[in-house]
Amino acid sequence: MIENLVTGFGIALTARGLLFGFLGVTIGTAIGVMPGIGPALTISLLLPLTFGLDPTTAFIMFGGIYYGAMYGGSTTSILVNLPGEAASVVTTLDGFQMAKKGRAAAALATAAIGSFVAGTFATAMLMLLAPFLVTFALGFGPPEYFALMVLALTTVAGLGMESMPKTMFAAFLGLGLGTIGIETQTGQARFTFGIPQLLGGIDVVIAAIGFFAIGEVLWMAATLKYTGQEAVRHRGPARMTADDWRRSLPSWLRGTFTGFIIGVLPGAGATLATFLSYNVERRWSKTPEKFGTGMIEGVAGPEAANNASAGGSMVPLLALGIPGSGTTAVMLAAFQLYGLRPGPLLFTENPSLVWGLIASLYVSNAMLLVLNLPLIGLWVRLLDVPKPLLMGAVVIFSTVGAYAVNNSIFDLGVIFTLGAVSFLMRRHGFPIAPVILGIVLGPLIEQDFRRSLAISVGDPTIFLTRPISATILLIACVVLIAPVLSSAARAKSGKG
Amino acid sequence: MAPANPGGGWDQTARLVQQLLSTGRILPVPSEVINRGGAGGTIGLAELVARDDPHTIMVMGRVMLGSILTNESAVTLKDTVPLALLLDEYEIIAVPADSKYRTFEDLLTDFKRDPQRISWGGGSAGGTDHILVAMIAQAAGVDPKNINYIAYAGGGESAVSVMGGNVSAGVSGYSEWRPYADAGKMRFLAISSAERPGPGSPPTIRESGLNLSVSNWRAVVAPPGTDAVTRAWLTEALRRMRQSRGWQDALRNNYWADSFLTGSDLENFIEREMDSNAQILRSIGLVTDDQSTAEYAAVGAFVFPVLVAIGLLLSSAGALYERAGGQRAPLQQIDWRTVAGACVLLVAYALLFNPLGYLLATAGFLFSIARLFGSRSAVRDAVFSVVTSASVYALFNFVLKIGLPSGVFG
Repeated sequence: MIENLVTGFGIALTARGLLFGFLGVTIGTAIGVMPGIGPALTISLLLPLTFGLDPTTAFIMFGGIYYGAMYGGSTTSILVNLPGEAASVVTTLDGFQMAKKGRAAAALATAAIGSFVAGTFATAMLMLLAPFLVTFALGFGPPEYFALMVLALTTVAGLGMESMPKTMFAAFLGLGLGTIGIETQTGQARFTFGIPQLLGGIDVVIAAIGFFAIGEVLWMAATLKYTGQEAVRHRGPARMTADDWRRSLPSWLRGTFTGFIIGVLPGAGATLATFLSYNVERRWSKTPEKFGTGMIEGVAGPEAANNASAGGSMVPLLALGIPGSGTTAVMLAAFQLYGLRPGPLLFTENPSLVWGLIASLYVSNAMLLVLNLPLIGLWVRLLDVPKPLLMGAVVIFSTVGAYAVNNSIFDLGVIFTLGAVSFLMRRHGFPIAPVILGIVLGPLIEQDFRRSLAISVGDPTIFLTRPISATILLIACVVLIAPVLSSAARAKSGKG
Repeated sequence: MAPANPGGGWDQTARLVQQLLSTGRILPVPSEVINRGGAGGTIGLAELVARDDPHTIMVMGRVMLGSILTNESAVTLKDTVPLALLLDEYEIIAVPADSKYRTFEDLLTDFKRDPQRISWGGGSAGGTDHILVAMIAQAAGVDPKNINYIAYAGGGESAVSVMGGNVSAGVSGYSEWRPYADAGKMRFLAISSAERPGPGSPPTIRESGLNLSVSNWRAVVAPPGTDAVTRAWLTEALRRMRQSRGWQDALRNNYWADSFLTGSDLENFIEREMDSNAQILRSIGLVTDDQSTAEYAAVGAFVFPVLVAIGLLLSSAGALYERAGGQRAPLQQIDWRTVAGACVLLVAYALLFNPLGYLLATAGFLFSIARLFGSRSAVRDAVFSVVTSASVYALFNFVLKIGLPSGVFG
């Protein structure tokens, strides 16, 4: 393995490898910042241009784009409450609050350094454990995925600050929106009202843009008169303080672990990883009630999880030829266009490609850190743009991003409608993030539930007789009940 | 155009064709692949027909016949001009490596005895994988409504379910799963071709005594307004592509069969396939007016939405109860006039996006919303609006090559 890795670095550190790696991370960061345009779309747009390259060089660039986009995604979430993709929705919860308190630079820094830590660890685990991890991933059938989704759904409890029924309502609304479109198991269209554009369902990127960006702009329209137009002052220390470091470090590591495991599972996805990580952070925190008010752990953990899941999704891609995310699906198509056979034999048939790519992921990560830390100063300046212009720009960037997803005006109507719903919810104290979680989880939880029962021919004990699924469900129960018990205990001791 | 998102079979074929047409200098003009995914390809089909631009041709395949029916698409293949049938991809039936089924006959015996005990993993409901299982059921004397079919988003996901031993058997494209069988992670039982396509192939379904064969063919079609001259020219370009070395290599690498067909032969072929496909879909209950007869499923399609609706009702009731209990947070003061103004601007922006074109609509929107939000410097706003919209337009049209509407400038 050491030998292979040395060969790999030999490829990644050539002038050519470095140049295309750098090109990849730069493009990746740029498109990560743009809402709607993700790494999957970018790589597919670039594919025809890369036919002149040898496959290894092309994949070094694609790897850079993928990791780079994960870095860039958090920027707009933190600065203007505009998540560029579903996986950075969680970052808005505490990241945007930090920015409002004048701590945008620290939030961006913990996101960038956390991404570096996560990316590096994830690549190391990919290198060392890929064959073992593949066995682990194959152990996950529909019942296990269902249990995992149930666990993820319990994180909803941590997403609302004031009222439990309102939080639940938001989550159910999301689950409901997620049922729109062609249902996977029997192919029937549900709640599409004869509109062909709805057959594919509401794209979660579109939903995130509508609920967050447009909702935020309408909210600003409603309150600007009373809160004043001046930009956020950079109060508080701009860089990360010693306290920030102390709090971020364990969060990065926990986020890396959570994100990587979820990333390895082809049926889960980065969004799930970030929500789970946010929940993990809340559980570990001594002050969970402060989450949502600008806790640095709430940015550090999910941002690390986001990047680690990108690294994790390379495991099934390289070791099995199975895509675990939209981006790896495009990379899989690229393998085929280059005449390579992605599959269990890729490691032995094309060692120079695989090891060159792995080595380049380390290099890309280092480049991204060097590229992104100085950029923070520049990004924070965005907040100096006067609100009226900034809000206009948020609408422009989010609509063009939404348009780019399907090239359809229909989607503009969808984001504006969802934005209006989001505004009304916000006015009446309903949280928004559970809606996005519901849209992401709804279709998965339903299809894995139904697949499980199809496999067991209708026997519901399948969820409890399989060890992994039973364990995860047990954890979910503990997660749900533990806070209730501990608060009951606290109330008792308070009285006594 | 590939009527699918990047990564699938149609996308792969479209990119291959585009690559060969341009590198082989067969087309005198540059070409590119555009992806219009969604709804089993019917969104792409609708756009091809609506746009009716002879410079856009579309890759399609057998699966689209099914989705046109199940989605009740207003546009059908009769609205297109078929150019050429490109290839046949065969379907494979595989079981987990440690499965007790050694041969296809073993599997069939259990399937005939208790159809629902055999779970089949494959691609989307109504797709070729599903249809093959239904045809096997029919030929084996099992009611296709009784098959226990578990749909996955694609061949990768269903491969995981087979390798993980979660389903009794799986169905997918031969080339897609061949690496897994070569690595010993699954076992092939049968292939859907009429004859074994080459060395290393499992026996055909026919050899097990079921008289059926299926191929997941792919073809290229042109928009309805394509005249005879253009059609002949495009067909000739595809014919030259087929003879290229790159194409022949791709056929071999992917275990595709060269089934090139054009003109009236192709039209007859598509007609036949449409008829047989519709008949099979009806037999599984995917195309029907009565939802209750839809195929066997342990949990129906409307259980989950009903649960969600109950959850919504309960949580609303909870929220109302809380409110009645006096827990009412003071509401933020709202400037309704500005909100209304912003809504009007958003709606106007969406409506003018196409007719006015991106540049004008965006610059106008940016300027108006800045005014609405009480910005103080009109000159600064105007400069900002023009510069921002022009840079976004340039970025999308010239760098990312995602065409934004040019409107009055076009």
